[in-house]
Amino acid sequence: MTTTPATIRDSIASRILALTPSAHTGDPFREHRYAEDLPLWAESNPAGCLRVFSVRWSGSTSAPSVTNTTEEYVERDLEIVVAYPTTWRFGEMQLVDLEEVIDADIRRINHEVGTNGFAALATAANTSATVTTLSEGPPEIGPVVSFGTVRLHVLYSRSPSA
Amino acid sequence: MAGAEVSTQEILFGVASQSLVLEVDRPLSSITSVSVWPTGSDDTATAESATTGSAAIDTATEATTAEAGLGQSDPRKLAMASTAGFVAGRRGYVSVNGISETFEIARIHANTAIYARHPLTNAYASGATVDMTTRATISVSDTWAALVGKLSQAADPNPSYRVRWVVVHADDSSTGIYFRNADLVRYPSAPPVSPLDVDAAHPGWIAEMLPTDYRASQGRPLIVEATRLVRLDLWGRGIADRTLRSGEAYAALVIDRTVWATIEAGGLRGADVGQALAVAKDRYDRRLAGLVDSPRLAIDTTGGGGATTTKGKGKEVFTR
Repeated sequence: MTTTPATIRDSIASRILALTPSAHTGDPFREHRYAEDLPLWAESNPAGCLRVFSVRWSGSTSAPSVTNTTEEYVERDLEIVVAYPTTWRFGEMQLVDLEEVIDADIRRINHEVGTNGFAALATAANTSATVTTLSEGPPEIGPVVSFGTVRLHVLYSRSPSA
Repeated sequence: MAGAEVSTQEILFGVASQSLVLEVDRPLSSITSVSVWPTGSDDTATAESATTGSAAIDTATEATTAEAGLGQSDPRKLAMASTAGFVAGRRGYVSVNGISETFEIARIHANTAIYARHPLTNAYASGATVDMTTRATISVSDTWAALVGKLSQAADPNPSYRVRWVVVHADDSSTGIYFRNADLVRYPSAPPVSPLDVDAAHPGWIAEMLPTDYRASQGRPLIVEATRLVRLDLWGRGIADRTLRSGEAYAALVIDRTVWATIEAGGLRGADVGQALAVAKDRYDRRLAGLVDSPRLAIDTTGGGGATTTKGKGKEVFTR
């Protein structure tokens, strides 16, 4: 059984959209619209970037490690970035509280779609792919916006021609 | 009343059962008096018979049933046993143990909680008092509101009436005096601009530009604020906003001002919005110059509701 990069990416994005954060629960995750890179967009829209995330493939796809001409296994990395305004709204300890919120969100996202959670992805993705976590964070704190990042490694079976 | 605490309230001519509203940032225990004068009259002059009956303070009050605010999983949430009397869009007041703040009610949830538009600034113990006693109303006299002679001067941007509220604050029993302004008008000045209108003129405004705390309301409060800014720009040119009789042109100004204000807010937060801000400001300035500074719009010069379309008369008013 094969899958596609789009199916895997969409499934991961859907799982994140369905998450309820553990802190500031009234501010859900929202997917970026990808008109430009999320960091670039967030720098221009700090007031509206809270928990806007992007899920994008990064790097090149490996040459097939196994193939039978109808299915082949390939590997590629995938990066999840979540944006936050650098403000006091997360607590009195300002940057410390911001870092804690980012850490908690990133941990939760990783648990849901990374090594622990990939089995719960949509059927077409999880039966044909293995997702492992490469890294979580650390929070990148900027003067205007900050970011949390999860990097994943995906091994999946695809059609050689589709 | 929507928007800022201090704004000129428009009383609609010939419409029954209206109220004057006072909103302040401290709880009120009683209203001593409410007086209405023409703006140009002293407090010693005979007051207008513009109100009827006694002023009433909003009575909604409730204790929170859980800790609230800073440090909670949702710092906008105020849990309570009943939400009766609380109204979304109005401003409330929460206090306990000597700390307090005002907030705007964004939404009411299943008679169990209300949610503030913004995360609460302070941490509140369970049992904090949430109340709406920062708001008072008094009925407008239906008879007065139907008097043609009381209509606000159409072309004068200054408010026609001054409302003097004498109140007693609940927190320290002190007497306070507030003044607000009012106009009696045939048409409200606010144009019917919806978030969809702003987004149609500036694609992406709803999905990509709205600040987090204004997403749930689709940015409607930002449009209200932009309307106020346009009104001030018109006043600065000596034009009463209510005289504009082209709703479409007024709406276009509000739409452009809304986008400009949204981008500007990002810039004030430190965002690099230089080019976008310049484009938005230029677009609004050109619209204002084209429609208002160069007189083309039909305006109501008499307050009768009809519009004067000759440019010459328009120019007289615009350059007055």
